[in-house]
Amino acid sequence: MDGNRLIGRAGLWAFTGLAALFFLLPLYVMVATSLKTMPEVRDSSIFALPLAPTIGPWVEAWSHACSGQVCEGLKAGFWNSVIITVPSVLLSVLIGAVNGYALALWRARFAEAMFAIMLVGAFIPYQLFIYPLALSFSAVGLNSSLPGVILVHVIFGMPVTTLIFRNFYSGIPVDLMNAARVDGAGFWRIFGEVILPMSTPIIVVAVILQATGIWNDYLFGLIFAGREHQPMTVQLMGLVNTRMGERPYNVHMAATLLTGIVPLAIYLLSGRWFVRGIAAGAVKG
Amino acid sequence: MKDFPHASEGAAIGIDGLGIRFGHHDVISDLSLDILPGEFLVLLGPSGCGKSTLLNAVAGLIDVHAGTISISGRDVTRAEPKDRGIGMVFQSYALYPRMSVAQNMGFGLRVGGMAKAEIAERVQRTAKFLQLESLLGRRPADLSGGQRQRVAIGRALVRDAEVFLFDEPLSNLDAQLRADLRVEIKRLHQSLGSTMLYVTHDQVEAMTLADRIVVMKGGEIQQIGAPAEIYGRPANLFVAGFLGTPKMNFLEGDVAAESGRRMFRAEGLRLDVTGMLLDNPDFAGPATLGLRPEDLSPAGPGEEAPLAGEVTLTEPLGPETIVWAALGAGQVSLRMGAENFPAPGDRLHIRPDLARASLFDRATGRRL
Repeated sequence: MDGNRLIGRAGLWAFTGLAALFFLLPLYVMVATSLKTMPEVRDSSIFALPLAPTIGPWVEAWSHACSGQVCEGLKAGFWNSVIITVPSVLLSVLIGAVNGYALALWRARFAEAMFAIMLVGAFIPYQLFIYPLALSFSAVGLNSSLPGVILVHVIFGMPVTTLIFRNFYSGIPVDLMNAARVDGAGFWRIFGEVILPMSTPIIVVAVILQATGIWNDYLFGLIFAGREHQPMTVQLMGLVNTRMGERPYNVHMAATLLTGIVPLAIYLLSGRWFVRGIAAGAVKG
Repeated sequence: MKDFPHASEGAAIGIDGLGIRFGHHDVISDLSLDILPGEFLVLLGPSGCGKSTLLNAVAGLIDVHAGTISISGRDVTRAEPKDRGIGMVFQSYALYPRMSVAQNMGFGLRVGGMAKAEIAERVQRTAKFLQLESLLGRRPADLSGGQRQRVAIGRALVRDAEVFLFDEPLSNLDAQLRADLRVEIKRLHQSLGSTMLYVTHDQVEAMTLADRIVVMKGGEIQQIGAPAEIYGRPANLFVAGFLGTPKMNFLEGDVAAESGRRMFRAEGLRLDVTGMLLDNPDFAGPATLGLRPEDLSPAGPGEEAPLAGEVTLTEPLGPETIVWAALGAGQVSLRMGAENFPAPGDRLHIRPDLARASLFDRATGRRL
């Protein structure tokens, strides 16, 4: 390796190293702070390693910290988020898959127009819909309920999942559909037995996008979920804003990390699949 | 391949006044065609000629806008593909990627509600017939192109159809495999006796497989006939030029009566074509004389040779040699033997076999 290339290499490493540091530093501060006792947080620099690491703040955040008047930690919110996220993800991915299949592989009348309308829906900021939606929900008794918030997530997730699946299915050769039709299979049979089994990579992509998006949602949870079903993000907000004397930064950090751990885990565990799914075109017969 | 226990005989297909429209564009209009029971009919034409569209209409995969299609005397114009008694083989194989070979072959039977044991037996029987038994557990991705297409044929065969539709089934294969599978398909037809409708743009497939060839262009039938007839007596300039490699030689000139004889006159050329059997013997005017490369031969010493020119190029192919020569009236090719062919630059005297020649009206392109 000659001198010039060595310098170039060094520059590259320096830049990526700095970039990594820039993103990792806040995470480090959060983890370090969450493992300190409050006296230590007060006395030491935020960059210092914990002298006597403790999981006390994590336990506090999970089961005792106060959000408003209620002091039961984030665990209720965690389970609320789970029961909101799981059905919302399943439904929005399934509906997106069916929509994408119908739009891409069945020459439905007005398919292009319907797809265009759906895309417009996806690009309008959804804050615009909140007031009319809240009014409509309350008119039919869906406001402040679990089905209500799930429905909102499904509706707003559908355009993106439809787009993802439509693009994936567009690469499937029309001969495959024709062969299945000659074999006598209908719309649902072809979907269930031919198309869906080919869709694993794109299902993974859609599930990851929807799961992280819905888990991280704050606004819909705040407005549509009601008191009993507040998701973790809403509880976290309450917890951080509840003030009695000194701010327990260690507990706040632990609570924030707990809330972020699910999407983080999804990315870490499925990153390989995610990249593969995005890169995958149609499956060759 | 002799004893495949096949329940159905071939069925007749009737296409009457068929019209197919994509949007406001007529792809096919008022097309009629009768296919005999057990016939191997090849639809031949360049891409975009409407041959695949016609096949898809017979399969029921696209909507027909006018006319009727009947199979076995039953009107199926509006019937679903599965209710037409057809099996279909596609250019891209179109195997279900997540199913095994056995599942691929049995899918149609399973959809039709057949009992598991009977499906297994039929798949087994068909696999044995096509020598696919060792592949039954594999996925399509683990098969070669030729194996995939054999599985696709098996999938069509297992359903005991009366009519088989082939949509350019060999086009994705390399030359050697294409030749092998061509022979297999021909044997298949001989042992099954089913009606086969076969779409291709490959004239060799058409010539070797067909009982009758339908040559199409621009959504219209140009000529229907046995391969030898299509090749020997093409109905128009398009058919004449489409079949044959190298192409038929075309000499442009005119036809005129001269003192009781019919003469073809071109630049530096006068041919007495009185002996040619013409449908339109009184024709006079601009015409094109078509001569196959094998109908031109070098004249021996002392023989009369109305054509003469200089050899420009030779293509030795092994069993034969294509010799190109420049005449006053244009470039022509001759099919000659593997040995003793002239070299570029040689002067060549050529004798045409006028009994096998074709004459076309240059204005309409039609055979005279």
